Amino acid sequence: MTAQQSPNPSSLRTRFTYRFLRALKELNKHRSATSWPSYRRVKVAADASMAAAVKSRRAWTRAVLRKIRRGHRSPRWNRPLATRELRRKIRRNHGGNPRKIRGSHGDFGQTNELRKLVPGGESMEISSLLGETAHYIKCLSTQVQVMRDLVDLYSSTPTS
Amino acid sequence: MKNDLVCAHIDKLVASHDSSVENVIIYIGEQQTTMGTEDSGDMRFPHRSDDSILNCPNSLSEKVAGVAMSSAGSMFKPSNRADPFFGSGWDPLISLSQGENFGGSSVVPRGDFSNPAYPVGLENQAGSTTSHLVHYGEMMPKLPCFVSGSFAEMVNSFGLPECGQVPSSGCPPNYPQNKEGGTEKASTNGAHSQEEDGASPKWRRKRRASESHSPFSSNKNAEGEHDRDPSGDSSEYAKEQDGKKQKNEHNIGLNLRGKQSGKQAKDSSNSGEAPKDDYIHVRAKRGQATNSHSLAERVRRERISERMRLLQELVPGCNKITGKAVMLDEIINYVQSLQQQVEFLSMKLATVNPEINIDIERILSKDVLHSRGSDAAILGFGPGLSSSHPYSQGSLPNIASTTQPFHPMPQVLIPRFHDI
Repeated sequence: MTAQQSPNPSSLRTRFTYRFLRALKELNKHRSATSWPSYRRVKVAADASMAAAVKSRRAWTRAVLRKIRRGHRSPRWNRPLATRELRRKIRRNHGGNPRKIRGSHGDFGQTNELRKLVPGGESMEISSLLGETAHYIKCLSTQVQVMRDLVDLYSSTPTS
Repeated sequence: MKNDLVCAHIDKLVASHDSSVENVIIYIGEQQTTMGTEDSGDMRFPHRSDDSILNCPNSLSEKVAGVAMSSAGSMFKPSNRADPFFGSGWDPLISLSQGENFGGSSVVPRGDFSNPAYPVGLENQAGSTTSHLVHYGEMMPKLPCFVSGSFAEMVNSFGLPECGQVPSSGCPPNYPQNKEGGTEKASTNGAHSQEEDGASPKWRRKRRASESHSPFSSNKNAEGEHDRDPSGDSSEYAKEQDGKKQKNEHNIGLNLRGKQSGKQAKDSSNSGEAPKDDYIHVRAKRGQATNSHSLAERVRRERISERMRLLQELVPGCNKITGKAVMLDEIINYVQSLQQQVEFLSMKLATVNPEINIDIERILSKDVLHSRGSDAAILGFGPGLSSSHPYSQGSLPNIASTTQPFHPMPQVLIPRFHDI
């Protein structure tokens, strides 16, 4: 037996799993008979559960929660971004430390790429960006593990 | 040489027992103060004591060094407290001959300053002593100001609380509370924890003192920043492992006495370094620019490279990659692939989800929490659950491979988990 037999009640993984399962249950409950929950909702539920499991200790979780809350307040089902939002996005990108984006000697393009990937990474210094990336990677891999296990369990459990 | 005289005197004094230490200490203390009045007396004394110590017999050398330690404090008042030195609280002392023990035990903090011959002196003693002393000995080169702390612990066991307070009065105020924690650890852990404890008081000390700093150029400037520099110098010596022990002693002396003089300028010019005034204190190493900007840059770069190393461990298969650009590419690829996997899995879940009975979810939550590695084997999962699965877009074949009929119903799963 390996050491990972009993779930650590307060590990990131357990917290995320509980939240995610509860969210999935919510989704299942609220969906009407005809409309299946779009995968987008599942993904949002997963991201939200992960961010909620980490609380607001990390900059990227705060950004994720902000985004989700904003999404909830004005739910946009596949509507294109309004011009105001677009402008705000562009302005935020420019205002978010362009100097720092340029100032990293030798990793210009990649830094910007990484900023786009990590939520909330637009206006962060390189060092903090790297730290956030490390935590984000850890959480993402946990998320992937749990979701994969769930899929396997769901798909392999024969439904009566 | 003065020290030869000292050795000779000590030799005579050692012959007698209880009161000898007292006399020795006072005598050497007097010597020290006279020498201390010279500008470079402090610097030279330990140095000379090194040579003389080597020349003198072992016990004598221990005595001299031990006394040198006490005299470095120069507020050391052993007048009627010398008796506790003779092992009231310290068993090894009693077991061995008293004179040698005292010198031997007390030599350690100072011993390592001079040369590695002192560990030889350590081994002369009983094993129980050695265990204490080795820790002190390891600790010594790292944090000279901490020497006073360890010395305080030893001295406290001798019943000399005053010595413990001496360095604390000299050092900045929050040093004592760190010192206690550190000295406790000294007896349990090795030098490593000592370094950390030594480091933490440094940081804290420096953070409070940082506002008064200004860049300390290598040119001598006798301006008003000296009051913080000795503590800075002595704290940053913990980082240095070079042979600038004389300056260590010198700075400790300054620390303990709190005197400012042109010695600092000499020290810094001798070392060719300048302490950086910032919340994180970095000492410019030899041959490196001492500009405050470049130091800040170096701190930043070090932080960034440290984070990159962390990331390198997180991202699988990046052990051989050296170079920020390639590493960043790998990181970006990894994050992208993880995000894609999340999307894909959420799609799968969305299709699979509605088929599941809600009750099962509760039960299955335990499965998910448990399922990893060997559990996968137990539960009949396929290889898709192995955590070493490469992140390259291989999720599809893995999921496909795990669709084997999985006969254990949820009820069956529970007993299995209890087995585990």
